[in-house]
Amino acid sequence: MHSKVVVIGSGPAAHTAAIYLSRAELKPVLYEGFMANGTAAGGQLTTTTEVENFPGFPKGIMGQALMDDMRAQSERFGTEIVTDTVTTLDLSSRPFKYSTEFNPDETHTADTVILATGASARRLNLPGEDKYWQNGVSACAVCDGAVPIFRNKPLFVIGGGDSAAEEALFLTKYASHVNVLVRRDVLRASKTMANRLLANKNVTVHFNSVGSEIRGGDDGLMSHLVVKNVATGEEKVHEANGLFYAIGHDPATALVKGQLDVDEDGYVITKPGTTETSVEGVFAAGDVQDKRYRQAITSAGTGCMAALEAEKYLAEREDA
Amino acid sequence: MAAKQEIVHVNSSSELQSLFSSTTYVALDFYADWCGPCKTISPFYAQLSDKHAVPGQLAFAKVNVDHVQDVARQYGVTAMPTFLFFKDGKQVAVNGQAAIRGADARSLTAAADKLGGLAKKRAAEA
Repeated sequence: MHSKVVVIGSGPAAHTAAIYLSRAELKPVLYEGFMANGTAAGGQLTTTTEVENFPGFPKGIMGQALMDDMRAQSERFGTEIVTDTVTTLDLSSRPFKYSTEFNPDETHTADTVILATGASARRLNLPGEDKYWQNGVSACAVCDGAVPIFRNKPLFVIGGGDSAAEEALFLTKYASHVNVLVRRDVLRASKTMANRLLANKNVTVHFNSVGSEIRGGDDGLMSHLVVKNVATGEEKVHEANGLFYAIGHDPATALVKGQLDVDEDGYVITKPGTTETSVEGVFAAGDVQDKRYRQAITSAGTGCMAALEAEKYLAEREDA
Repeated sequence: MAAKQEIVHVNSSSELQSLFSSTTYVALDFYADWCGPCKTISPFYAQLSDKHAVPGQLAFAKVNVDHVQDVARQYGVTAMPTFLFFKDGKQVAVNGQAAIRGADARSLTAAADKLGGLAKKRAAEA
């Protein structure tokens, strides 16, 4: 299959790009992936609950519902959405070539690519983490919170940002108590979320604290977390039946490794004020190129930019 | 051909027991409404049911962990989604896997193909 433009991603950047491209009648093909980077189609918003700061939804909207609507809007204007993960991408010659997980032997081509692969949740690699991964340790509170091993049990969240605050508040529905470990002496979360977290009687925020070891019982399930106070060096063993990571994300750039210029943290570098990457015809939008804002609305904004820039690029090539 | 069998929604422990007594092989999908990966794999699971379910021999069922906690606890579900398989009400490993955890389409397809084959064989012999 050859396409004028292929969008790789499934979050707000990808779907905003697809909406603009399909309305411009460029017949975009969007690869939403199948659990690409371990995240459901829709991206990081599928791991959240209520989104309260996306304009146009004064009463808030569930992250999954927002993404369902964006997807429906892409489809409405003729975007071809493929539930498959792009696993190889060759940007060394034109047209660009790629193949997918479910049809690895078939090679497709595209004149332009919009990379909107986002970012995936980071792990801490604490001692005991591999052993108790999915047996108490989880990267998605919203996915796993309801399982019986967490009911009326003490749970821990590591992280100090908005997503940590949100996960902790979500877990109060199930836990006997939720503890939040924050490495610094201050929460990085927005004022609204920080206040909500600190005011909740079922949540204790431990500042200057990090997890140092995960321990479990004979049943193979996590039972304790060793917490270290980074100010005093003191370690304490806490009863803990669940541990949830909300410590940020790494950009999903494996596909373009060695092909696009990235910064020291691995984010794709775009020309300031544009979504142009180091390869002409490849545009990057959303969290894969943004370590500063990382909001649904900024992702959508750069997705729009990428679509308009791809459209212009294609028009100029046609004229030439 | 028998009519297409719908996915069975298990709402209680006793409903599960009656499913076990009426059906030789049962696949169970433990999920939650919140869970993105559960949602991703859901249409896939429905397709596998359409393809392989045989009345009395193989059923594909779902358990909402938020609503049917005791069943989830009984089978030690610790992450979602989790897929478990049963023969005559006893949990069995399929293709060497006691459980499939996460939205793993490949393993789930392989397990459903295997059970589908066994169910078809039994139906032909019956």
